[in-house]
Amino acid sequence: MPRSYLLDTRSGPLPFHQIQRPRLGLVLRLAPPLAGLAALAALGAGQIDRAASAETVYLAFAAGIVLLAAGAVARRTKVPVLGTSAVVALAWIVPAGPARGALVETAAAATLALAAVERARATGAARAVRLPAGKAGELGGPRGAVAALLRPVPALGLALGFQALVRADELLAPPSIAWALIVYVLLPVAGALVVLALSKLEGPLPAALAAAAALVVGPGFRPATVTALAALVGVVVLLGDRAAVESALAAFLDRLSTPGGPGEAPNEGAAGTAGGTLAPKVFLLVKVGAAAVLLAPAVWSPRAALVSALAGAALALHRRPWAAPACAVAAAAAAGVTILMGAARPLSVALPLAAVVPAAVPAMVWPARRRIGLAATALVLAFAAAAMVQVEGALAPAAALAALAVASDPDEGPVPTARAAAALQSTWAALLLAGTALAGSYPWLRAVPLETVLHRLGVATGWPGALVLAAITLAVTLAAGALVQDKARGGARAVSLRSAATAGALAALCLLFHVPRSAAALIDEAQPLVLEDTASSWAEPLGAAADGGSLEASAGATVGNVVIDSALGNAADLAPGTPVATLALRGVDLPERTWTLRVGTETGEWAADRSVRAGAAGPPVPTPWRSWMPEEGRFFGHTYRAVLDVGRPAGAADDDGGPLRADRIELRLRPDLPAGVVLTVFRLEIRP
Amino acid sequence: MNPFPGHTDPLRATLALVPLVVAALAAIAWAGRRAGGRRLAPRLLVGEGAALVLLVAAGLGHGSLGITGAAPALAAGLFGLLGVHVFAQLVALRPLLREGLREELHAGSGSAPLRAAGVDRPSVLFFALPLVVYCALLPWAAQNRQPDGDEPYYLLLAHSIAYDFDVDLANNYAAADWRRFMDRELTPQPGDPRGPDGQIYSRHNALLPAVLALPYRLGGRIGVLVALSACAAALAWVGLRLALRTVPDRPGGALLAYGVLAFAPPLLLYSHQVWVEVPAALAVAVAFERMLAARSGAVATSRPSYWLPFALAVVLLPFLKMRFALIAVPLVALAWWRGGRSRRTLAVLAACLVAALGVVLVINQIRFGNPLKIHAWQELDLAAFSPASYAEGLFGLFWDAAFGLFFFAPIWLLVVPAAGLAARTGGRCRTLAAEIALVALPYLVVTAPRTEWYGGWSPPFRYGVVLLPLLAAALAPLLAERRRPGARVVLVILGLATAVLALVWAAIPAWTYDFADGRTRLLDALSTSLGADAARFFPSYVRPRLASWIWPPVSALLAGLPWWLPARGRRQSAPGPWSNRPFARRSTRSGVGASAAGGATLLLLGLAALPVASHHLATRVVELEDPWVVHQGGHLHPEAWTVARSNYKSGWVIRPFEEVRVPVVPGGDRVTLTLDFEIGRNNPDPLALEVAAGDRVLTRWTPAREIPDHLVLGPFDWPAEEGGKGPVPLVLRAVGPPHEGRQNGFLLDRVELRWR
Repeated sequence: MPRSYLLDTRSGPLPFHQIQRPRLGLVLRLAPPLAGLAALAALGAGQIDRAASAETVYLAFAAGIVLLAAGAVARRTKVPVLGTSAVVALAWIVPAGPARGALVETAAAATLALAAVERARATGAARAVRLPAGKAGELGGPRGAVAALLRPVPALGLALGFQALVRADELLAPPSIAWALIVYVLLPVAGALVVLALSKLEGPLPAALAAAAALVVGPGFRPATVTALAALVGVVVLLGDRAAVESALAAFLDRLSTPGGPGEAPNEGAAGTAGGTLAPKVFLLVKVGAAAVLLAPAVWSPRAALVSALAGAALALHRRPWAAPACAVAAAAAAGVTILMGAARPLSVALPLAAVVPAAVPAMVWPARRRIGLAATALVLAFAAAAMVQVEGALAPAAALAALAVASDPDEGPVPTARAAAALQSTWAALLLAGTALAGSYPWLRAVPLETVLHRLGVATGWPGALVLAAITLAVTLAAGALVQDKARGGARAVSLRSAATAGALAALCLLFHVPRSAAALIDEAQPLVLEDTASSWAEPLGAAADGGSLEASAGATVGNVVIDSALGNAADLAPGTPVATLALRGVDLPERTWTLRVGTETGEWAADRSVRAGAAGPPVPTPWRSWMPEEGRFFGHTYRAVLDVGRPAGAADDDGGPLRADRIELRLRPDLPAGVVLTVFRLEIRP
Repeated sequence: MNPFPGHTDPLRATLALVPLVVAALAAIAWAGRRAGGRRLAPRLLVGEGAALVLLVAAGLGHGSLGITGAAPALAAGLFGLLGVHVFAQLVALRPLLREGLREELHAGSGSAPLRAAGVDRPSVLFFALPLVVYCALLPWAAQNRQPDGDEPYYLLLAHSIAYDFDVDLANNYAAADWRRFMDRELTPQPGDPRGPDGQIYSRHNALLPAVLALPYRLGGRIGVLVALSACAAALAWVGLRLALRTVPDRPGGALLAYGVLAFAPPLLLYSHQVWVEVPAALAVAVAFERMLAARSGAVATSRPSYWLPFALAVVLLPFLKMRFALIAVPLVALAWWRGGRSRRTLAVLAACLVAALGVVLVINQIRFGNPLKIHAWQELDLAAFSPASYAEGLFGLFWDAAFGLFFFAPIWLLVVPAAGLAARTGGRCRTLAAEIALVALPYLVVTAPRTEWYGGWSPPFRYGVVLLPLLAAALAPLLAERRRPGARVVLVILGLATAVLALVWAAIPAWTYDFADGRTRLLDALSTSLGADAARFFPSYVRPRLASWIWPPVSALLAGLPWWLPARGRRQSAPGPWSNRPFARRSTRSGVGASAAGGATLLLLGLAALPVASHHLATRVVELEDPWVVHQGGHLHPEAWTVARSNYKSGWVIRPFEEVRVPVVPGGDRVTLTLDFEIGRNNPDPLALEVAAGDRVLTRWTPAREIPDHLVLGPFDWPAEEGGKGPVPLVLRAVGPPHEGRQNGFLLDRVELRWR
């Protein structure tokens, strides 16, 4: 069993004035976001354009919560002041629309991230100075920085802010106040408390990595995510070493009784604790509570509860050689039985879905010493959960367990490769958290933001992408470890930094090189194209069309892909797969070739969200590309993106082997559509 | 693979320059460290790098990421990131000024230690840093803003000198040489002189184009803009030198003043525009700095290092623009007075200036037939203008929401408490203020009452740009006293507002041109969005209103008072700049956060109050051409961009079947309307003006033979609401029979509403 973390008792109590300062500091840090929220709300209330007004009010809520959370997380007033100013300036100056939403939400997310970094760096550095020299490497580096975030106030702030970002779609017109309170307050608060408890049992870095992995695959705090993390804590409490658990829980309760400022020391002996132990009755109550936490999800989803419990058992007993294989076998058996009885998902779906876990935790390829079994169990659990459980966040237990396999125990000493792997995973987790938060926020509102983030970084979906990530992680880990071992002393911290820097640089390069370049658009959202009964076709010569992003007068243009952002109006009753429009390209010296836009795959009803929010099934739509606020202000309008891979026409005899060159593009609404159906094309872009 | 977005992408050039800018900034950081500056925090650099990657990625793919319209905001983000780095770099470079001063304090006073302190010659890094910033802004500005106002004429003149070696523009207009730097057709300006053989000359002086001919030949328009950026960077560097002369023992204050001058508008935006103002400001800064150097004994007046730059600067001023002679003359007088009152010095300097003026006047007489070109001697008759003209011009130059310095860059509002500080403390500070006033006042007195006090077809504060280095010098003593809670709050409010506005102006350069209709684009956009008059709370001296006379005293009081509030712990931190520095820092650190939070909160709450006030404070005056008024038909009069537009009353023309609807906030149950208007008669058909409250007609007025200047209508009962649809609009509608051809109409200027 790992030694418990009792960070604050080591640093010793601080002078009284330093304990009191953060309380006033919190007020000062929250004042600018509150004023910013007022500025946004006042603007929204005053705007005469109903869509703009609705969007501003929505942004006041969505960004306001994140800014307030950033105020709670930050250590000084600088970040909340600058972040709030940026958000308010963008909301006031940029014209209403999805672009404004994107900028405002990104600025708010950046403020939260900056606040977290500032808190982690400042407090982590302070800890490193205060601790004895021998402990500085252990607690003053990344671990100390993470520990600074895993205090009640910053942790709650991070949880609330992240939840408001990643589940931004449900912030608009929630079904009821109670529902909103559960989703945006209760779940993140419960999740934050569970992570705090886990940090006391397993250490701050493993707890943070586990939480990050669970939140990324969640996405956000969902019942399955929170129960998965709670089950880890519950099983460890029930099955773990009593002395260690008591000590950790005492520290946890002490922590809860002190605020989360930068210099607070815990009140020794508060909350029924004395000298790091719990009274027997209290401990019994805690065990009963842990059992309840473990069993409660069974009422809602027995399969999810089983997976969570197995993950917890694997963690609690991982030092026993038989535990991990036993859990893996149990998970595999459960999955097998489920498949035989009728799995939630077919194998062809479950298998690729399970790859999400290694993609979210690529460093599980190099687990910490004595945690190899955990990594293997996590993989089996991922497959079992994918096959058995069909709730959002089903993979959270497996992802959390995989992350816990990465972070090494502090008493195992600084193993360079393990540190490198942990550092890589930390960087990757931070990147995924930030990307997930952005992809889940307005105007993108992705239901599975992790998929979008991986796609933007150029990581292929499924196992191929996961394996590539694992290979890169392995290579960087080994290289960093080898370099530091050569340099002997003092290299443990260096290896972390180097690995993190390498991961960051690699991710930056992937992002820069993989982001699709803006090509010339034949139709731009400033002047969208509307096809309806009276004007059912549109055509454009490609003599001076996009070619490598430039306008070049030539005989035709090179066409690799045609990107169409569109939405249908009055099309809620159309059956899935109904053809609605035809895209025709006339090639140079080639006959015309056509592609079809279909309901539910390439395009869909713009107001599909209206019927979904009204409780109806809703018309068939593809994944929305982008959302916007209509005048009604009660639901989101959606635009759908279709990327038609035109490429070289099949069977065409291109002697030179070059790509397709076309000299005319045409879009035609199908004549057999019901009256009143409208196709609006917001953007049509040709990529070579 | 082409790493950049398409040729038509507005961010292409900006993104392409990013690696060069990063390299230049890295070189500055490295050089600064070698010269004794501090190291930039690694975590700051990591954060900046991450933000840069995200911004560049968003910029590369903004069209494909669903944020097509966000290019200006992304550019603003890049500029904001640059601003953060520059701020940190400035702080890191501060020891370059301080280390020398420490030596000075140990060695005693004198010119040699001052030289060592960098007062005489600050590090070249203080020139390089603004140059990099200006060049970083240049691609975006050049791609998103066509040359405007006088700029294309200077460029065409430079082209003619560079390629034809003459100043005759006839062939250049004929060959459409302007296509090399702009898309819009360029025609000669009204008042441009013509030669006997069809030559067309420009009314602008040829000195600046002559200097710019070489850069133009080498790099076209971009070459010219780079040269002018270098000129602006040189102005910033001399400005620092000037600030250090004013507060040689307080480098922090001087550095902040330098920061305001170099990195806040107007210089930030004028740095990549072709106006004579920046070179003239450089000349003024050089002359004033030499004068201060002579006064302090740092340089003897007989040495060429004193009189040569001074004389050159003073002589160049009238060659750049005639009106700058009004600054050159008092500069010469002041130099003589402060430089030992030597008759020989006076004779030499005066002779130089008189000769320069004479040459200019003679050239003008030969070419224009008028020594003052398109101006008249009467314009120098100060008694010919009313006190109101002086007041509007002087206040407008600083407080006008569209053209004034303080709304263009609010941080400059600090010159008001700076003047107060000079008056209060006396000594060196008051002397400096008096010297600045002596140099600036003749120029301001002649410029302010002109109808074109706002600068014409240019960004705001054009006529004042030449005085910027002097204003920055005046700021230095005040900024040295910044460690007070109240002062910090003021600094945060003004600094945040300036930063946001600077980014807006840099990202959307067209918004700095308010000459089209005399209104403020930013406030117009807000009013249109709110459907209410938000601009009424801000001063305008093109259309004076109540706010025009409330803002100057109130803002001066609010900006100035906090500097006079007692500072906590000041007794300990005041005596010397170095001896008690650790204690002073400790005593003020906790206050910084509180001041920042307080300032930002106040600013944001003020912003929140604006829409609320716009919708709830009773409407009393309505300018009927304003964009928040709903126009159903009709047109603006005179047209936007009319030359000398401030000479006209702006209004909205409505003809029969056209109307304006004013979203009125009622201030009572009964209202009396006073309407300023004119009637345009183009046919004998009857014409009437119908006044309605929503759907209810209040009155119909038919013009009699005698048409009054203004019409008083009412009082009328005013309904509170219109069938649950909210406040009732005031409707003014022209009524008459339909008519083919030219119609009759009303030119509606403004309506005043008196509520009871």
